[in-house]
Amino acid sequence: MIITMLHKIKDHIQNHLTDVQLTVYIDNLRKKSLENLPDQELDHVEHCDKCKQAIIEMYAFLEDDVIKTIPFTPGNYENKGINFQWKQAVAVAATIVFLPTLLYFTTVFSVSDTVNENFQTHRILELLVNDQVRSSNLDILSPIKGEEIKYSPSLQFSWNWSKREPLTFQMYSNTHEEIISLTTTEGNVEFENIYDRGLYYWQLTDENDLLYTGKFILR
Amino acid sequence: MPENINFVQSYLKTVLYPEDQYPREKYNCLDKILISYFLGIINKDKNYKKIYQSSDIDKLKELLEKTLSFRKIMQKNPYLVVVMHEGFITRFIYKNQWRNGNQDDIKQEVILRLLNTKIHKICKQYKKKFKKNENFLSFFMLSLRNTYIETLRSHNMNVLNHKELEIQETDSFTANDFESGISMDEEFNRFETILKLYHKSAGRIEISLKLKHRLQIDSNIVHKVFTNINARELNAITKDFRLKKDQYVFNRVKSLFIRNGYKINNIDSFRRWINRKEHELIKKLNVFHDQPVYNRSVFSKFIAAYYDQFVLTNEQAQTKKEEP
Repeated sequence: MIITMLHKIKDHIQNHLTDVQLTVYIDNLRKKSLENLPDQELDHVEHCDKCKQAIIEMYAFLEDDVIKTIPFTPGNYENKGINFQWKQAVAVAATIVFLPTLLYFTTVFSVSDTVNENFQTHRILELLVNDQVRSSNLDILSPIKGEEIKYSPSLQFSWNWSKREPLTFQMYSNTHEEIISLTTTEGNVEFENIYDRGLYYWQLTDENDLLYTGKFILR
Repeated sequence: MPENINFVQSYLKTVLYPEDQYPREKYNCLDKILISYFLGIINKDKNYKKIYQSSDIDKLKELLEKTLSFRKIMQKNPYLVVVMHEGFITRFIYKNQWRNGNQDDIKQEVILRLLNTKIHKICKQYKKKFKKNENFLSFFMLSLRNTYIETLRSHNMNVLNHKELEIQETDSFTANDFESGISMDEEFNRFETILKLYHKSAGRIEISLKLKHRLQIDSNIVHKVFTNINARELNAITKDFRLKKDQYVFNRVKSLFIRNGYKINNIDSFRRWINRKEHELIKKLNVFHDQPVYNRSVFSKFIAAYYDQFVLTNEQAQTKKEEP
């Protein structure tokens, strides 16, 4: 982490092109229209091998997206002694591939199935819940991860955030549909309970990073 | 209902994610991913479900735009953006990590980093800075590259190290490969693109490379690079240097470089400078290949062919065009 930060500081001091500037540069290079770019950027790249290297690597990759010999299919990763988390990721891909067919050919719209589906886990969000790198500035008070909450008129979320910066609170259904999104400087939020029973996920994000992903079940 | 799912599929392919911008051979399973997501949404919302089940195509179109357009997905579900680009992530990591053999672990970590911290920033910054969707792939790939580098650094692993390996004689391509295995036109175009990155220095580097490899220099490029040149100097630099030593060549062109503002102290510093530039160019040409194929000797043959076959042919074609 420290090494990465030092690299970023060094890059900043050296005034390297930002990702946005690099993107525009690469696209103009692909369209053979570098003359559209500001002189300052052309001059920087001219003298900066680091930026040149980044540009040419991306140009080369986008030019022919070379690895045609290793096309991606989820099956590529089986039988390789892969670890548990990766198996989950493969499951995500497999779910994504087969879910539409499954949904379509089963009784997608029946009410009883909808109730059950409300408790199904979302694979990507589960990855995030399980792989949380918690910020030392944030303590989650409630609900705790995986807590089962009895259906009641109000729903409360609370945390301790030692910084003064605002946080974005987002709540999602188990299909990752956003239900609530708000920015707050308070350490808690409360909502009238207008939701169906089911599994829900919630996240706290500061200006730059996702700080926490939690989940709870509303019974 | 089957008609409706067909409509969704065709709307995705023709309007929201057309094949020319989202080639399905690169965006693996894109339609399935999006349809799955769409069905998940309508299954949760009674009004959406009604629209989907009705035969009102206009409303269905509106619903599709509202839920599946790329901008909406970035806003509502940035994780899906990562899933949509998973094929690119895999190919990028396999391309750069093949020699180290732990592609799967690195890929997993890169994906988690993207999901955990990066994708929100990527989507937010992209929406803020770009109006159209056409640059997204470049933008995303740059962020992927940065994430990949961060991941390697966090494990104290070398970044893109295989590109810097000295190639073995057996790895490099030979004159025969020039004729068969590798498309030379493609290589020439790549070299031309790389030179563009050198902007104002490109001409000076080209002349210096030609001097180093004793290739014929024509007056057109000399006039482009050196604005301050007299007839004697032009005559000197366009001479045939094939049998001459470095010191002789250097003495003949030194004053011309200096008078045009290019610092050049002695033959050793000039040699070092051009060798460094040559090394940079070789490294960049190798980026286009799974394994490095250029070393100094291959590069020497390559640029002779580049100027002899590519530049000369292009110049002749240009002259023909300009003739009345």
